[in-house]
Amino acid sequence: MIAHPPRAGRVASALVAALLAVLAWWWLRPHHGDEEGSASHIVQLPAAEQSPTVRAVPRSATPTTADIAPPLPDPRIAATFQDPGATFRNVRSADARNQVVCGEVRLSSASFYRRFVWVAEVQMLATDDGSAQFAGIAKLCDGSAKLRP
Amino acid sequence: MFRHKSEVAAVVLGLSCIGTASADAAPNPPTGQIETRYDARGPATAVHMTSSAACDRKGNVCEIWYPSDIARGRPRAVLLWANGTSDVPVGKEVYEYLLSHFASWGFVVIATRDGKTGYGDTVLDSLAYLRSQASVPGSPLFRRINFGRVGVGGHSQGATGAVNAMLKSKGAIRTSIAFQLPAQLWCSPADLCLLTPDLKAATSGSIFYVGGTLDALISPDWQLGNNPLNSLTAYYNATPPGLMKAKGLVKLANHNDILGKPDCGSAALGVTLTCTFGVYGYRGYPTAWLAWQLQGSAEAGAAFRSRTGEFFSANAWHSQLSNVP
Repeated sequence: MIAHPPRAGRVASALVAALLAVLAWWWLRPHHGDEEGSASHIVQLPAAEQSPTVRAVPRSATPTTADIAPPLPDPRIAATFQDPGATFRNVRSADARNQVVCGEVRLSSASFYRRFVWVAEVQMLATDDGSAQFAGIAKLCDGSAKLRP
Repeated sequence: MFRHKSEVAAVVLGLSCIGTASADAAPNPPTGQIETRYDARGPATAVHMTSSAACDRKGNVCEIWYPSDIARGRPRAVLLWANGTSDVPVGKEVYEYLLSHFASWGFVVIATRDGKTGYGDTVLDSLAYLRSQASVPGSPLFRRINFGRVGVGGHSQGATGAVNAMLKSKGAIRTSIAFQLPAQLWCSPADLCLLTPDLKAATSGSIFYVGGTLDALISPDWQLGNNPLNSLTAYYNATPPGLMKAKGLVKLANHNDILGKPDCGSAALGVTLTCTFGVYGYRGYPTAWLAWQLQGSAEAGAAFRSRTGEFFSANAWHSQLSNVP
Protein backbone atom coordinates (compact mmCIF):
# COMPACT_ATOMS: atom_id res chain seq x y z
CA MET A 1 0.00 0.00 0.00
CA ILE A 2 1.33 3.32 -1.05
CA ALA A 3 0.93 6.19 1.36
CA HIS A 4 -0.39 9.29 -0.38
CA PRO A 5 1.19 12.56 0.68
CA PRO A 6 -1.07 14.94 2.53
CA ARG A 7 -3.20 17.24 0.27
CA ALA A 8 -1.48 20.39 1.52
CA GLY A 9 1.85 18.92 0.59
CA ARG A 10 0.72 18.21 -2.97
CA VAL A 11 -0.48 21.81 -3.37
CA ALA A 12 2.80 23.15 -2.05
CA SER A 13 4.75 20.97 -4.46
CA ALA A 14 2.69 22.21 -7.37
CA LEU A 15 3.24 25.83 -6.36
CA VAL A 16 6.98 25.32 -6.09
CA ALA A 17 7.08 23.71 -9.51
CA ALA A 18 5.11 26.56 -11.01
CA LEU A 19 7.39 29.09 -9.39
CA LEU A 20 10.46 27.34 -10.74
CA ALA A 21 8.93 27.33 -14.21
CA VAL A 22 8.25 31.05 -14.06
CA LEU A 23 11.76 31.75 -12.86
CA ALA A 24 13.22 29.62 -15.64
CA TRP A 25 11.15 31.45 -18.23
CA TRP A 26 12.16 34.83 -16.81
CA TRP A 27 15.83 33.90 -16.91
CA LEU A 28 15.78 32.49 -20.44
CA ARG A 29 13.36 34.94 -22.09
CA PRO A 30 14.58 37.25 -24.88
CA HIS A 31 15.62 40.64 -23.58
CA HIS A 32 13.20 43.11 -25.15
CA GLY A 33 15.44 46.05 -24.41
CA ASP A 34 18.09 44.47 -26.61
CA GLU A 35 15.59 43.86 -29.36
CA GLU A 36 14.32 47.39 -29.41
CA GLY A 37 17.64 49.08 -29.04
CA SER A 38 17.94 52.32 -27.22
CA ALA A 39 18.26 55.63 -28.99
CA SER A 40 21.89 55.84 -27.97
CA HIS A 41 22.63 52.49 -29.62
CA ILE A 42 21.00 53.55 -32.83
CA VAL A 43 22.74 56.86 -32.98
CA GLN A 44 26.10 55.12 -33.02
CA LEU A 45 25.24 53.29 -36.22
CA PRO A 46 25.81 54.67 -39.69
CA ALA A 47 22.62 56.10 -41.04
CA ALA A 48 22.71 53.54 -43.82
CA GLU A 49 22.08 50.84 -41.21
CA GLN A 50 18.89 52.35 -39.94
CA SER A 51 16.25 51.80 -42.55
CA PRO A 52 15.61 49.75 -45.65
CA THR A 53 15.38 52.97 -47.62
CA VAL A 54 18.89 53.97 -46.76
CA ARG A 55 20.44 50.51 -47.07
CA ALA A 56 20.44 50.96 -50.81
CA VAL A 57 22.87 53.83 -50.46
CA PRO A 58 26.56 52.96 -51.02
CA ARG A 59 28.29 52.77 -47.66
CA SER A 60 31.63 54.18 -48.68
CA ALA A 61 32.93 56.63 -46.16
CA THR A 62 34.60 58.71 -48.86
CA PRO A 63 32.13 60.44 -51.11
CA THR A 64 32.55 60.19 -54.84
CA THR A 65 31.69 62.90 -57.29
CA ALA A 66 28.46 61.10 -57.99
CA ASP A 67 27.66 61.05 -54.30
CA ILE A 68 27.94 64.79 -53.97
CA ALA A 69 26.08 65.80 -57.11
CA PRO A 70 23.73 67.49 -57.56
CA PRO A 71 24.86 70.59 -55.70
CA LEU A 72 22.91 71.77 -52.70
CA PRO A 73 19.75 73.56 -53.76
CA ASP A 74 19.80 75.88 -50.78
CA PRO A 75 23.03 77.19 -49.18
CA ARG A 76 21.17 77.68 -45.92
CA ILE A 77 21.22 73.92 -45.45
CA ALA A 78 25.01 73.84 -45.31
CA ALA A 79 25.05 76.96 -43.17
CA THR A 80 22.82 75.30 -40.61
CA PHE A 81 25.44 72.66 -39.87
CA GLN A 82 28.09 75.30 -39.16
CA ASP A 83 30.66 72.88 -40.53
CA PRO A 84 32.57 73.97 -43.66
CA GLY A 85 33.90 70.42 -44.01
CA ALA A 86 30.50 68.80 -44.19
CA THR A 87 29.77 66.80 -47.33
CA PHE A 88 26.39 66.00 -48.78
CA ARG A 89 24.87 63.41 -51.04
CA ASN A 90 21.49 62.41 -52.38
CA VAL A 91 20.16 65.90 -51.77
CA ARG A 92 16.81 66.27 -53.48
CA SER A 93 13.57 68.16 -53.26
CA ALA A 94 11.03 65.83 -51.73
CA ASP A 95 8.13 68.25 -51.89
CA ALA A 96 8.70 71.29 -54.03
CA ARG A 97 5.41 72.93 -53.19
CA ASN A 98 6.11 72.78 -49.49
CA GLN A 99 9.86 73.30 -49.85
CA VAL A 100 10.89 70.08 -48.17
CA VAL A 101 14.42 68.90 -49.03
CA CYS A 102 15.88 65.54 -48.04
CA GLY A 103 19.43 64.25 -48.22
CA GLU A 104 22.37 62.91 -46.30
CA VAL A 105 25.20 64.74 -44.62
CA ARG A 106 28.56 63.68 -43.28
CA LEU A 107 30.05 66.11 -40.82
CA SER A 108 33.80 66.55 -40.86
CA SER A 109 33.98 64.91 -37.45
CA ALA A 110 32.00 61.86 -38.53
CA SER A 111 32.81 58.80 -40.60
CA PHE A 112 29.30 58.17 -41.82
CA TYR A 113 26.38 59.89 -43.46
CA ARG A 114 23.18 60.71 -41.68
CA ARG A 115 19.87 61.55 -43.25
CA PHE A 116 18.40 65.01 -42.86
CA VAL A 117 15.14 66.77 -43.63
CA TRP A 118 15.02 70.51 -44.30
CA VAL A 119 11.85 72.57 -44.35
CA ALA A 120 12.71 75.79 -46.09
CA GLU A 121 9.67 77.80 -45.09
CA VAL A 122 10.56 77.64 -41.44
CA GLN A 123 14.30 77.14 -42.08
CA MET A 124 14.48 74.13 -39.83
CA LEU A 125 16.55 71.04 -40.22
CA ALA A 126 16.31 67.66 -38.53
CA THR A 127 19.02 65.02 -38.67
CA ASP A 128 18.55 61.33 -38.13
CA ASP A 129 19.02 60.60 -34.45
CA GLY A 130 17.56 57.13 -34.68
CA SER A 131 14.36 58.23 -33.04
CA ALA A 132 10.85 57.30 -34.02
CA GLN A 133 10.14 61.00 -34.39
CA PHE A 134 12.72 61.34 -37.14
CA ALA A 135 11.51 58.15 -38.76
CA GLY A 136 8.07 59.71 -38.98
CA ILE A 137 9.38 62.93 -40.48
CA ALA A 138 11.52 60.99 -42.94
CA LYS A 139 8.33 59.57 -44.41
CA LEU A 140 8.12 62.89 -46.22
CA CYS A 141 11.23 61.91 -48.16
CA ASP A 142 9.94 58.73 -49.71
CA GLY A 143 6.45 60.06 -50.29
CA SER A 144 4.74 57.80 -47.79
CA ALA A 145 3.55 60.86 -45.87
CA LYS A 146 2.56 64.21 -47.29
CA LEU A 147 1.91 67.63 -45.87
CA ARG A 148 -0.85 68.56 -48.28
CA PRO A 149 -2.88 66.59 -50.78
CA MET B 1 9.85 46.69 -31.30
CA PHE B 2 6.10 47.17 -31.26
CA ARG B 3 6.49 50.30 -29.26
CA HIS B 4 8.83 51.67 -31.91
CA LYS B 5 6.35 50.92 -34.67
CA SER B 6 3.50 52.57 -32.85
CA GLU B 7 5.60 55.66 -32.34
CA VAL B 8 6.29 55.84 -36.06
CA ALA B 9 2.63 55.33 -36.83
CA ALA B 10 1.65 58.08 -34.45
CA VAL B 11 3.98 60.59 -36.05
CA VAL B 12 2.97 59.62 -39.55
CA LEU B 13 -0.65 59.94 -38.56
CA GLY B 14 0.07 63.43 -37.39
CA LEU B 15 1.58 64.31 -40.72
CA SER B 16 -1.33 62.77 -42.53
CA CYS B 17 -3.70 64.92 -40.56
CA ILE B 18 -2.01 67.95 -42.02
CA GLY B 19 -2.93 66.70 -45.40
CA THR B 20 -6.58 66.34 -44.55
CA ALA B 21 -7.01 69.78 -43.05
CA SER B 22 -9.55 72.01 -44.61
CA ALA B 23 -8.20 75.44 -45.37
CA ASP B 24 -11.66 76.95 -45.22
CA ALA B 25 -12.53 75.62 -41.77
CA ALA B 26 -14.27 78.15 -39.57
CA PRO B 27 -11.97 80.36 -37.55
CA ASN B 28 -11.89 79.79 -33.81
CA PRO B 29 -14.37 82.15 -32.16
CA PRO B 30 -13.93 82.83 -28.44
CA THR B 31 -16.39 81.14 -26.10
CA GLY B 32 -15.57 81.99 -22.49
CA GLN B 33 -16.00 85.38 -20.87
CA ILE B 34 -12.26 85.99 -20.39
CA GLU B 35 -11.34 84.75 -23.83
CA THR B 36 -14.02 86.90 -25.42
CA ARG B 37 -12.84 89.97 -23.58
CA TYR B 38 -9.20 89.63 -24.58
CA ASP B 39 -9.92 88.39 -28.08
CA ALA B 40 -11.21 91.86 -28.85
CA ARG B 41 -8.92 94.82 -29.23
CA GLY B 42 -8.09 96.56 -25.98
CA PRO B 43 -9.23 100.00 -24.90
CA ALA B 44 -6.20 101.82 -26.29
CA THR B 45 -4.98 102.39 -29.80
CA ALA B 46 -1.59 100.88 -30.54
CA VAL B 47 1.04 103.43 -31.51
CA HIS B 48 4.11 102.26 -33.41
CA MET B 49 7.60 103.62 -33.69
CA THR B 50 10.94 102.29 -34.90
CA SER B 51 14.06 102.81 -32.83
CA SER B 52 16.35 105.50 -34.15
CA ALA B 53 19.43 103.42 -33.41
CA ALA B 54 20.49 99.82 -33.13
CA CYS B 55 18.91 98.08 -30.19
CA ASP B 56 20.82 94.81 -30.11
CA ARG B 57 24.35 93.47 -30.41
CA LYS B 58 23.83 92.60 -34.07
CA GLY B 59 22.98 96.14 -35.09
CA ASN B 60 19.26 95.59 -35.65
CA VAL B 61 16.75 98.28 -34.99
CA CYS B 62 13.68 97.58 -32.89
CA GLU B 63 9.97 97.93 -33.54
CA ILE B 64 8.01 99.31 -30.61
CA TRP B 65 4.28 99.41 -30.02
CA TYR B 66 2.76 101.17 -27.04
CA PRO B 67 -0.75 102.12 -25.95
CA SER B 68 -2.00 105.54 -26.99
CA ASP B 69 -2.95 106.34 -23.40
CA ILE B 70 0.50 105.58 -22.02
CA ALA B 71 0.81 109.03 -20.50
CA ARG B 72 -2.03 108.28 -18.08
CA GLY B 73 -2.31 105.85 -15.21
CA ARG B 74 0.36 103.59 -13.83
CA PRO B 75 3.57 102.78 -15.71
CA ARG B 76 3.02 99.97 -18.16
CA ALA B 77 4.21 96.39 -18.29
CA VAL B 78 6.58 95.25 -21.03
CA LEU B 79 6.37 92.47 -23.55
CA LEU B 80 9.62 91.57 -25.32
CA TRP B 81 9.19 89.76 -28.61
CA ALA B 82 11.41 87.17 -30.34
CA ASN B 83 10.87 86.60 -34.08
CA GLY B 84 10.86 83.29 -35.89
CA THR B 85 13.73 82.38 -38.18
CA SER B 86 14.59 84.77 -40.98
CA ASP B 87 17.65 85.45 -43.12
CA VAL B 88 16.83 89.11 -43.33
CA PRO B 89 15.73 91.61 -40.70
CA VAL B 90 12.12 91.02 -39.72
CA GLY B 91 10.02 94.02 -40.66
CA LYS B 92 7.30 95.43 -38.48
CA GLU B 93 4.55 94.10 -40.71
CA VAL B 94 5.35 90.45 -39.99
CA TYR B 95 4.00 90.23 -36.44
CA GLU B 96 2.28 93.60 -36.31
CA TYR B 97 -1.26 92.35 -36.02
CA LEU B 98 -0.71 90.34 -32.85
CA LEU B 99 1.83 92.66 -31.26
CA SER B 100 -0.34 95.71 -31.74
CA HIS B 101 -3.19 93.70 -30.22
CA PHE B 102 -1.10 93.25 -27.07
CA ALA B 103 -0.23 96.95 -27.06
CA SER B 104 -3.91 97.86 -27.23
CA TRP B 105 -4.25 96.09 -23.87
CA GLY B 106 -1.70 98.36 -22.29
CA PHE B 107 1.61 96.62 -22.89
CA VAL B 108 4.72 98.26 -24.26
CA VAL B 109 5.93 95.79 -26.86
CA ILE B 110 9.45 95.78 -28.28
CA ALA B 111 10.76 93.48 -30.99
CA THR B 112 14.27 93.48 -32.37
CA ARG B 113 14.34 92.77 -36.09
CA ASP B 114 16.75 89.90 -35.44
CA GLY B 115 15.86 86.75 -37.37
CA LYS B 116 18.03 84.45 -35.26
CA THR B 117 16.66 84.93 -31.81
CA GLY B 118 16.99 81.42 -30.40
CA TYR B 119 19.65 82.16 -27.83
CA GLY B 120 17.61 85.00 -26.39
CA ASP B 121 20.56 87.35 -26.18
CA THR B 122 19.25 89.93 -28.64
CA VAL B 123 15.92 89.84 -26.84
CA LEU B 124 17.67 90.81 -23.63
CA ASP B 125 19.45 93.54 -25.59
CA SER B 126 16.07 94.95 -26.58
CA LEU B 127 15.12 95.13 -22.91
CA ALA B 128 18.28 97.08 -22.16
CA TYR B 129 17.49 99.42 -25.03
CA LEU B 130 14.01 99.98 -23.69
CA ARG B 131 15.43 100.84 -20.29
CA SER B 132 17.62 103.45 -21.90
CA GLN B 133 14.72 104.96 -23.82
CA ALA B 134 12.57 105.15 -20.72
CA SER B 135 15.15 107.44 -19.19
CA VAL B 136 15.18 109.94 -22.05
CA PRO B 137 13.12 113.06 -21.30
CA GLY B 138 10.82 113.85 -24.18
CA SER B 139 10.34 110.21 -25.13
CA PRO B 140 6.74 109.02 -24.85
CA LEU B 141 8.16 106.16 -22.81
CA PHE B 142 9.92 108.42 -20.33
CA ARG B 143 9.19 107.06 -16.84
CA ARG B 144 6.13 105.31 -18.21
CA ILE B 145 7.38 101.72 -18.08
CA ASN B 146 7.27 99.34 -15.15
CA PHE B 147 10.41 97.25 -15.46
CA GLY B 148 9.28 95.11 -12.59
CA ARG B 149 6.64 93.68 -14.92
CA VAL B 150 8.43 92.28 -17.93
CA GLY B 151 7.32 89.33 -20.02
CA VAL B 152 8.51 87.80 -23.26
CA GLY B 153 6.89 86.02 -26.16
CA GLY B 154 8.22 84.45 -29.30
CA HIS B 155 7.33 82.38 -32.30
CA SER B 156 9.07 79.25 -33.59
CA GLN B 157 12.82 79.78 -33.10
CA GLY B 158 11.69 82.86 -31.22
CA ALA B 159 9.79 80.66 -28.81
CA THR B 160 13.08 79.12 -27.79
CA GLY B 161 14.54 82.60 -27.64
CA ALA B 162 11.72 83.78 -25.43
CA VAL B 163 12.17 81.05 -22.87
CA ASN B 164 15.96 81.27 -23.06
CA ALA B 165 15.77 85.02 -22.47
CA MET B 166 13.61 84.45 -19.41
CA LEU B 167 15.96 81.81 -18.07
CA LYS B 168 18.97 84.06 -18.62
CA SER B 169 17.33 87.15 -17.18
CA LYS B 170 17.95 86.20 -13.54
CA GLY B 171 14.38 86.98 -12.61
CA ALA B 172 14.00 90.21 -14.57
CA ILE B 173 11.53 88.51 -16.93
CA ARG B 174 8.54 87.13 -15.08
CA THR B 175 6.77 85.14 -17.75
CA SER B 176 7.08 83.81 -21.27
CA ILE B 177 4.72 82.63 -23.98
CA ALA B 178 6.25 80.13 -26.37
CA PHE B 179 4.26 80.06 -29.63
CA GLN B 180 4.92 76.98 -31.81
CA LEU B 181 8.02 75.89 -29.92
CA PRO B 182 9.94 73.50 -32.22
CA ALA B 183 10.71 69.97 -31.12
CA GLN B 184 14.34 69.52 -30.15
CA LEU B 185 14.63 67.27 -33.19
CA TRP B 186 14.69 70.44 -35.29
CA CYS B 187 17.40 72.14 -33.29
CA SER B 188 20.39 72.63 -35.53
CA PRO B 189 22.68 73.70 -34.03
CA ALA B 190 21.59 72.12 -30.79
CA ASP B 191 22.51 75.01 -28.55
CA LEU B 192 20.13 77.23 -30.49
CA CYS B 193 17.40 75.27 -28.76
CA LEU B 194 15.70 75.38 -25.47
CA LEU B 195 17.94 72.82 -23.82
CA THR B 196 16.55 70.29 -21.40
CA PRO B 197 19.01 70.97 -18.56
CA ASP B 198 18.36 74.72 -18.79
CA LEU B 199 14.61 74.24 -18.64
CA LYS B 200 14.77 71.77 -15.78
CA ALA B 201 17.02 74.10 -13.81
CA ALA B 202 14.55 77.00 -13.98
CA THR B 203 13.66 78.40 -10.58
CA SER B 204 11.58 81.44 -11.46
CA GLY B 205 9.17 82.67 -14.07
CA SER B 206 6.21 81.04 -15.77
CA ILE B 207 5.61 79.57 -19.20
CA PHE B 208 2.56 79.30 -21.43
CA TYR B 209 3.18 76.83 -24.28
CA VAL B 210 0.94 77.59 -27.26
CA GLY B 211 0.74 75.32 -30.28
CA GLY B 212 -1.58 74.41 -33.09
CA THR B 213 -3.19 71.06 -33.69
CA LEU B 214 -1.95 70.99 -37.29
CA ASP B 215 1.63 71.89 -36.45
CA ALA B 216 2.53 68.23 -36.04
CA LEU B 217 5.65 68.56 -38.15
CA ILE B 218 7.52 71.27 -36.26
CA SER B 219 5.78 71.56 -32.91
CA PRO B 220 3.85 68.37 -32.16
CA ASP B 221 1.86 68.01 -29.01
CA TRP B 222 2.65 64.46 -28.11
CA GLN B 223 5.36 61.82 -28.16
CA LEU B 224 6.10 58.53 -26.50
CA GLY B 225 8.72 59.06 -23.86
CA ASN B 226 10.01 62.42 -22.73
CA ASN B 227 13.58 62.64 -23.93
CA PRO B 228 14.60 64.43 -26.04
CA LEU B 229 11.88 67.02 -25.77
CA ASN B 230 10.09 66.53 -29.06
CA SER B 231 6.62 67.70 -28.12
CA LEU B 232 4.87 70.47 -26.25
CA THR B 233 3.68 67.96 -23.68
CA ALA B 234 7.27 66.90 -23.05
CA TYR B 235 8.35 70.52 -22.66
CA TYR B 236 5.45 71.10 -20.30
CA ASN B 237 6.33 68.06 -18.23
CA ALA B 238 10.00 69.09 -18.11
CA THR B 239 9.10 72.53 -16.78
CA PRO B 240 9.67 72.43 -13.03
CA PRO B 241 6.46 72.31 -11.00
CA GLY B 242 7.60 75.33 -9.04
CA LEU B 243 6.94 77.46 -12.11
CA MET B 244 3.40 78.32 -13.12
CA LYS B 245 2.80 76.68 -16.47
CA ALA B 246 0.08 76.05 -19.00
CA LYS B 247 -0.16 74.45 -22.42
CA GLY B 248 -2.78 74.44 -25.14
CA LEU B 249 -3.18 74.08 -28.89
CA VAL B 250 -5.32 76.27 -31.09
CA LYS B 251 -7.56 73.98 -33.10
CA LEU B 252 -6.60 73.56 -36.75
CA ALA B 253 -3.81 76.11 -36.46
CA ASN B 254 -0.51 75.40 -38.16
CA HIS B 255 2.99 76.76 -37.69
CA ASN B 256 2.43 80.22 -39.15
CA ASP B 257 -1.19 80.99 -38.38
CA ILE B 258 0.08 83.41 -35.78
CA LEU B 259 1.29 85.66 -38.64
CA GLY B 260 -2.27 86.24 -39.83
CA LYS B 261 -3.54 89.78 -40.27
CA PRO B 262 -5.90 88.35 -39.21
CA ASP B 263 -6.28 85.77 -41.98
CA CYS B 264 -3.59 83.91 -43.91
CA GLY B 265 -4.29 85.67 -47.17
CA SER B 266 -2.74 88.84 -45.83
CA ALA B 267 -0.10 87.19 -43.68
CA ALA B 268 2.79 88.15 -45.99
CA LEU B 269 3.67 84.52 -46.47
CA GLY B 270 5.42 83.32 -49.56
CA VAL B 271 4.13 79.79 -49.31
CA THR B 272 1.02 77.95 -48.27
CA LEU B 273 2.46 75.22 -46.10
CA THR B 274 1.81 76.37 -42.61
CA CYS B 275 -1.12 78.73 -42.27
CA THR B 276 -4.62 77.33 -42.04
CA PHE B 277 -6.77 80.37 -41.42
CA GLY B 278 -4.84 82.95 -39.46
CA VAL B 279 -4.34 84.48 -36.05
CA TYR B 280 -7.87 83.80 -34.82
CA GLY B 281 -7.64 81.93 -31.56
CA TYR B 282 -4.22 83.32 -30.65
CA ARG B 283 -5.53 86.59 -29.32
CA GLY B 284 -7.70 85.77 -26.33
CA TYR B 285 -5.86 83.50 -23.91
CA PRO B 286 -2.32 84.68 -24.64
CA THR B 287 -3.45 88.24 -23.87
CA ALA B 288 -5.25 86.99 -20.77
CA TRP B 289 -2.08 85.21 -19.63
CA LEU B 290 -0.13 88.45 -19.93
CA ALA B 291 -2.89 90.41 -18.18
CA TRP B 292 -2.69 87.96 -15.29
CA GLN B 293 1.07 87.63 -15.06
CA LEU B 294 2.05 91.23 -15.77
CA GLN B 295 -0.99 93.37 -14.95
CA GLY B 296 -2.20 91.42 -11.96
CA SER B 297 -5.65 90.50 -13.26
CA ALA B 298 -6.80 87.72 -10.94
CA GLU B 299 -9.88 87.23 -13.08
CA ALA B 300 -7.73 86.50 -16.11
CA GLY B 301 -5.60 84.15 -14.05
CA ALA B 302 -8.64 82.20 -12.89
CA ALA B 303 -9.27 81.21 -16.49
CA PHE B 304 -6.17 79.02 -16.35
CA ARG B 305 -7.02 77.10 -13.17
CA SER B 306 -6.25 73.47 -13.72
CA ARG B 307 -9.24 71.63 -15.17
CA THR B 308 -11.80 74.12 -13.85
CA GLY B 309 -10.76 77.36 -15.55
CA GLU B 310 -12.60 78.42 -18.68
CA PHE B 311 -9.45 77.76 -20.71
CA PHE B 312 -10.19 74.05 -20.30
CA SER B 313 -13.62 74.28 -21.87
CA ALA B 314 -12.75 76.69 -24.67
CA ASN B 315 -14.00 75.48 -28.03
CA ALA B 316 -11.03 76.87 -29.91
CA TRP B 317 -8.44 75.06 -27.83
CA HIS B 318 -7.28 71.50 -27.48
CA SER B 319 -5.04 69.42 -25.18
CA GLN B 320 -4.97 71.99 -22.41
CA LEU B 321 -2.83 71.53 -19.33
CA SER B 322 -1.94 73.78 -16.43
CA ASN B 323 -0.73 73.61 -12.89
CA VAL B 324 -2.51 76.78 -11.83
CA PRO B 325 -4.19 76.12 -8.48
